[in-house]
Parts: sequence; C-alpha cells; structure tokens
Amino acid sequence: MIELIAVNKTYTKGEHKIIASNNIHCRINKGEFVAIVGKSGSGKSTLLNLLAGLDTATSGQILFNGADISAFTPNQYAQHRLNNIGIIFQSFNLIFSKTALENVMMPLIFAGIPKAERTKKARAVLTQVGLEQRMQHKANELSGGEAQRVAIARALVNEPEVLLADEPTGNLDSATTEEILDILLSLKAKGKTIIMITHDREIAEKVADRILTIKDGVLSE
Amino acid sequence: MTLTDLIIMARQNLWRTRLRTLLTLIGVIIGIGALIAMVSFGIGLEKNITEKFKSNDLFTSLTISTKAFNFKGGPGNRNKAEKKEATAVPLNDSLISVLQKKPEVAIVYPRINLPVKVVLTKDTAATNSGSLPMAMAQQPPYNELYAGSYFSGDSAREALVSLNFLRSLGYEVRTKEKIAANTEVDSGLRLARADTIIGKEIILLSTSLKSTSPLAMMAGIENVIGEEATTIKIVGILKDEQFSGPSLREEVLLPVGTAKSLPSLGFDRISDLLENKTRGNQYASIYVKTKSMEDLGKIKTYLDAQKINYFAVDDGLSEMKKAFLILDSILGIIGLISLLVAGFGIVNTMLMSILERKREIGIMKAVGGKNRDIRMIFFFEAGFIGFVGAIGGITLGYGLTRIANLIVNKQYIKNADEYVDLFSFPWWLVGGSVLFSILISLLAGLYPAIRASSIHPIEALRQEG
Repeated sequence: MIELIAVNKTYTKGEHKIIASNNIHCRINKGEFVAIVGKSGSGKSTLLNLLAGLDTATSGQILFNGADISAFTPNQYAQHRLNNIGIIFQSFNLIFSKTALENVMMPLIFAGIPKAERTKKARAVLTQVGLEQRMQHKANELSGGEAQRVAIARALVNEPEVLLADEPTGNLDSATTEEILDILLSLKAKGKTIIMITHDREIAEKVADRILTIKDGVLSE
Repeated sequence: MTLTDLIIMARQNLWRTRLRTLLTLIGVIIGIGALIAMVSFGIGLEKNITEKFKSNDLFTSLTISTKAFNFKGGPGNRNKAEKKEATAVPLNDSLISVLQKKPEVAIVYPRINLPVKVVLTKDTAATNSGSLPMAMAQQPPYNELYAGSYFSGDSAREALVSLNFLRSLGYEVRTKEKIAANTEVDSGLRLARADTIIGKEIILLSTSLKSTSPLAMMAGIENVIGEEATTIKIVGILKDEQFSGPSLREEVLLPVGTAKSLPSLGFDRISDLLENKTRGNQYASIYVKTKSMEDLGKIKTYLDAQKINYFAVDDGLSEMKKAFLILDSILGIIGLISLLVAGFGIVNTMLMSILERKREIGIMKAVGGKNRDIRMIFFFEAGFIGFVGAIGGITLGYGLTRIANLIVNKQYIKNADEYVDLFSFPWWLVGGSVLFSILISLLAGLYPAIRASSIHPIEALRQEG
C-alpha cells in the first residue's frame, strides 16, 4: 500500500546540513498497524510529514497504492490528504473558535460536500468516538481526551484508507491514553491502515502489528 | 468549497475579531461615504442646471442676432466672429416669415428690447422691456406665472413684470397664502399682495428719435432725443427664475405688437445715427423655438448656410459638460483618496489576521485545504469588508447629503418656491460604489490572500495555539 524507496530528507541551516531521513526503505501493507518508535529528534515526525505530503523528500520515491507521490505539487498533496490520509496530531490541532462538529466538518467543506450531508457524516463519526453529547461545544471547552477524539473523528470523516497518528497519546493521562488506543484498535479492526509515531515503545508494543525503529534518520525493523 | 461556505466562513472569521473588523469597516464606510457624497454633489449640480435649462426649453430654442457670439474666446475665435458679423443678413419680417414656413419651427418672433423707465404710482425704476407673442403663452416659464394671467392679445396694452423688478420699485410682492404664512420681508421693501398689483397701470417712458438732421444735432441733444410715455396695465407677475427663458434680464414683457409700436431710437450705436443708418424695420434679434432638439440642429444648419449669426444654449452645453466632468473628477478623486486609505487599513487588518491565524491555516492545509481554498477564504473576508463597508458608506453618504440639503434649503434658499435637491444618487452611482468598494477591498486582500496561501503547513502548525 505504502512504499518508501531510498527516501532522504535533508534540512540546511546555515552551513549545517541535518539529515532527518536517511535512505529509508520500508513497505506498509493495507490494514496493518505500524508503530514507528524513536527518541525526540530521531526523525520520526519528519517521516510522518513525508508520508502525509506535508513535506517533500530531498530524494527517493514514496509510492501510494503504486503511484509515486513524491513529485506531487502542493495542491496534489492537499487532494491526496483529502482523499486518502487522515492525520491525528499530538497537540490535537483543532480550531479552538469552532465547535467539535465544525472542526470535524472542515475536511468535508474542502471536499465540497453539501452542508446537510457533511453535518450528517460529522455527527455519525463523532458518535462513533463517543462524543455525541459534546458536538456543539467549542474545541477549547473540551478535555484533552475529548479533543483528541474530535481530532480522530476529523481524521476519519473523509473515510481515508490511511491514518497517520503523531504521538496521539503524548499529551494525555494514562486512562485517556487507553481510551484513545482502544479507538485506534477498533479502527484497525475495521480495516484502516494505521501508522503511529511514538517515543513510547510500551504503547507501540500494546497496539502495533509491527514496530519500526528510527534513529538519526535511519529506519530499521 | 461552495460560495455559501466562503460567505459564512468570512462572516464568522470577521466576527471573531469584531473590534478590529469594525475599525477597518469605519475606514471603508468613511471612504465610500465621502466618495458618494462628493460625486453625488457633482452629478446633482449638473442635473439641476441641465434640467432647469430643459424645463425652460432652452435646448429647443435659439436667438438670431446681428452680432456674432463668441463662446470659446481666444483670438482665433474672435476673428472668426468678426468675419461672421460682416456677412450677417438683415433681421426683418421677411426673415421671420421664411422661418415661420419651416416645418421644424414652432414659434418665431422678433425680440424687441428697449431701455425704459417705468413709473408705478410714485415709484420709478429703469429696466429693459422685452417682447413676447401670444404663442409663448403655453411655453415655460410663461405658462406658470407667479400671479395674474398672460396677455389678452398681441397688441394689448398689457405687461408681465418680474418679482425682481417689483422689488426695484420697492415692493415685495407675495400671494395671499404667503402673506398669511408671515414669511420674512427684506428691509426697505413694502409688502404688497399680488392681486393688488395685478390690474395696476404703469407708465413706460421710452426714448425716441425726434430728428436726424445735423442742424437739430448742433442745436442740442434735446432736439434729437425725446422721451415718450405709454400707459400699460400689469396683467401678470413672473416668478423669480435663475434661467428665465428667452427674455433673460428683461423684467417688463410686452405683447410683440405693443412693443413694435413703442417709440424708440431705432439705432444701436451713435455712429449709426451719424451715418444715417437707422434700423428701420430691422430687429436686433429674433427668437426661434423648434419642435424638437433634432429640429434645432436642422435650423442651425440652415442658419449656418445662410451665414446668419445665432446663439443657442446647447452650443455652450458641451463646454459646460466638460467643466462638470472636471468637477466630478476632482470630487471623485478626493473621495477616492479616503477609500485608498481605507484600502491600506484592510491590508493591515488582513495581514494581522494571517499572523494570528497561521496555525489555523496550517490545520486547514493538513486536513485537505488547497492553496486556492486558503486564498479564497481571505479574499472573501476582504470582499465582505468591502461589501458591508459600501452599504454603510452609501447610508452614511446619503444621510449626510440629506442633512446638507436640509441645512442649505433652510438657510440659503429661503425665497425659493421649490425644494432644491443639491445631490443626485443615480442607480449607477450606488451600484458602482458597491462594486468599487468590493474591488478596492479585493485588491487590498490580494497580497494577504496570496501570502496566507503560500504559508508552509509545517511552519504554520508549529505556531503555538
């Protein structure tokens, strides 16, 4: 489903070159739950950004369902995210001035879905993550766990094939972490491909089918 | 994204920062208000003047004269005018009868203009008398007199006098209703009811030529020029008019037959008298009224071919329109400057908004928003400010002009019978202001929108929420 072939990402800061991804080769199959584990600064978030099309590789190929996405334009990446990828961030990245429902409807607005249909879809997915009572609450009125569930709902609302989760439990207490992991597992059970970035190997072992380790930009099994 | 989504999003985003939006809006409102008030004043002025001209049929009439008129000035035109005067044909009854036969001509009559002294009881005033035929009874401004009626016939010993002339005789004439309303009278004037003036007799003292012999001239001027009295009855009073039709500045109007029979000098210049060139049956000028504006053009072509000098108001109209265009442009530019200042306010507001919403832009991009979507969101916000600002500006401009109208009408146009609207709001000015405001706002929003859409999503997501 997703294949990375000799992917490199180098940042230049003044005269210094930082290698964030170093000759990465990897294949992720449909329906797989893969955890990428690494310490802070190891290049795991860079890898997630490359997979999401939020950043572009310096060299190498990223294949999605056989199609090379590494040479996409920013608009093609946006369309790719809209159709195929759902992203869950550590810091939730919700728009605080909007309600939970409005945040979830955001991708559907960009997809041009009519208001009635997008409201129906957003309500259904918020119910799925257990937030039917909090739909009309502003994002800044929600607890950490609730906010992350809204973020999951937003990632799911366009029915993408792949979910990219960047430290989804990083800002949560242990009880809430369990709830979020349960949701991710239930999504895996429904056939979603999930790639989760974490620094916590214990969490990775609890939920992932496969664990990849990243260190100094080098990815290994 | 649909249009409705963009409008709703723009409204929500602007409402979030309502104080800043309001301050930016005030700038646009003042800009549009100033623009619309200035331009509406220019248009109103032009409309008032041209309508006044039209209502007095000045665009369907001309005056034939022995003298050439030089409208544009300048030495070249003056020479042309002098050349034209040399070729002028005699203005007499035979020319009048030729013109009368033309299908384009509705009314034609000689304008007999005489300097006269007028005596009303014990008061005397000097003025010019003019002439009018019965055919002019239905023409403005003679169809709506201030009081009384038109002449009973072309040879009746009757006169129409102007309110202004009655003032020079010492009378402030008012209708019964106006006297009842106790309106103010300028100091030094006697208030008189119009119906007491109608029917009064006046004595017209006109100057006549006793003799043209050189012996009489040598014996003294009193042997050459004498003064003759004619008694005339006032039958009507003319309104105060800024543009009073063909008999401009003629304050005592007589039936054309009566005017012809008044004793007069019969020459225009002393040199004519010395050369024994009295006018005979020639007139100084002839008034021609055509059936339509197109007919006026045909008559002008005919007169040009005959080398007959004439003056038509519409000759001056194109010059007047140019002057109005310049005035409108100056007024418009003043308003435009205010709007441009407001435009910079919009740029500032939008750039501030981008800084504050950088993370939001990153989120929108992360969930599938394209650069075009982000551009449109900011573009619509700018356009929304322009639209609401235009509505507010039009309301402000309209309100201010109404107040200005009220003050001007109350303070400065006390004696006018009608309410004068100094401003004009044609549909194109209102519609154009809305479009122009939106256009300026969109231009102001262009750079911020492009800047917002070009923000890298990762950089945007790094901003603290």
